[in-house]
Amino acid sequence: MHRHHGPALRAHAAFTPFFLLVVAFGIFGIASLFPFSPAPVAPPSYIAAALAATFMRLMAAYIAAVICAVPLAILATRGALMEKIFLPVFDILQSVPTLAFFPLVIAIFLQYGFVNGAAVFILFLNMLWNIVFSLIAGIGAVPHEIFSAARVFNMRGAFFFKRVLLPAILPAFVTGSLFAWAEGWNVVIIAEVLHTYIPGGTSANDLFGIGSVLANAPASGSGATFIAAILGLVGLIAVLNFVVWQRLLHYAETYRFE
Amino acid sequence: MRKHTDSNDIIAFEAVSKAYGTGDAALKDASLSVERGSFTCIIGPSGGGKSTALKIIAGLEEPTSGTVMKPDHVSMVFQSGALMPWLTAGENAALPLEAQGMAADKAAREARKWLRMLGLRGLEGKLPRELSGGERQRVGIARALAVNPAMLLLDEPFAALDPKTTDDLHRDIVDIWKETGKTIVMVSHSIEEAVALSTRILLMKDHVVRKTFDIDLPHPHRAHAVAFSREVAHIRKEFFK
Repeated sequence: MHRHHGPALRAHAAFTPFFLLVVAFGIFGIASLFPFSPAPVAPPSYIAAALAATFMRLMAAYIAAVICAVPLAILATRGALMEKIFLPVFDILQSVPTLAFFPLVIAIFLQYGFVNGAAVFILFLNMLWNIVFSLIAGIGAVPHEIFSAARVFNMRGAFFFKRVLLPAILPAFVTGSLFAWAEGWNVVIIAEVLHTYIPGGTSANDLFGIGSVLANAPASGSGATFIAAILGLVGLIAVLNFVVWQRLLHYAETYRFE
Repeated sequence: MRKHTDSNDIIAFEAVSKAYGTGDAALKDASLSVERGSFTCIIGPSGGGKSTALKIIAGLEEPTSGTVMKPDHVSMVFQSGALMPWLTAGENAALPLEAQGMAADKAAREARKWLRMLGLRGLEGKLPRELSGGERQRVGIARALAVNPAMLLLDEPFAALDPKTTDDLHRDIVDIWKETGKTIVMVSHSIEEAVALSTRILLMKDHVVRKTFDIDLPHPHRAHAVAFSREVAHIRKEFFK
């Protein structure tokens, strides 16, 4: 079956090898900065466990972001009045630098002894708006006649949501999710390194994950662990890109309106 | 809004106005009627109110004032086809039936019957992007007929098609009208198309029906070239008046 690929997808596909090349050069550059260190290299299982912990944190944040983003986007696009009310509010909220509130978020979650929640919450906030705005754009891009056809043919409620709206916004949802995960990977290092936000905190306060491994390895003089962690991180992102995102982007093209 | 009562008219507008939030009026005290079983075409310049009238008939818009009599169960063919790109031709045609609560396999059988009637045998499994413009419109017509509506509305369904495909579809739509006896209301920009297909033409200008023309030619109308040309010239004169 012949499928059409949008310029964004083609650009994305072309950009990925270039990005990996830049990363590889970057790693060699960084490695040359570290003096030889006798600190032991973390075993692969340790790096893998750190990656798994971070991945689970991102996944929890992503699921929460999707659960909130879909109704928010639908609400904001239900007529001109709703758009007037919600879009400026969303614009302001997404412009607020969430990391500025991180110490407060940690303090709140520490009270309940649930510091993992602080990291997931910050990741959630950073992922949310990518999905919300992609979905709003996606709903706006659905031809008006599709909604008219749905009304004429009495497609309402759950049937309309499941059989018309959700498939119609699938391409935007995939694109938004891709951006959300990219944002999540960016923020995860800060989100796991909690000790800088806790008065008198040490690395023992950090959450176990690839972010905290990356942040703490240079400080402990283990350049090799840092490089292993970077390679693991880049490898996981590359695998996710090829195995999940590229396939999803390709699949979502079927759902795109011409 | 008054609903359809016992009359030979299936649609009746009495002093219907429609104004949008911006203050722009699409209809101003417009009155019109459509006879049951007729093939009525609404023509007129852009902004004259014909699309708004069709949307009110379809239930997509509510009038600001006035009385509208229309059947509840109408169906529509859209200019772009308005097909779901992720569904096959068969699934698209079956979707309204499933929305009515029909089981998926029964809906698929019913949809297949209409697709075959419209000459799409073997194309049931194709996605809209794998079909030509004419085939996509045929799927849209099959979808509209599958729900067995009281009336079929056509919103400039041939505007984006090439002349050959348009001619083929003109023949098909007239055949469907004759076979099913359904009332058809079509909006068109083309006077020739309106004269070729319909039994009555409503000319909408300045937000009201300016003139009604009864086309009394045996089908196919174009075969009666002199009478056809005379009708077109007559309507054109009123159109540009």
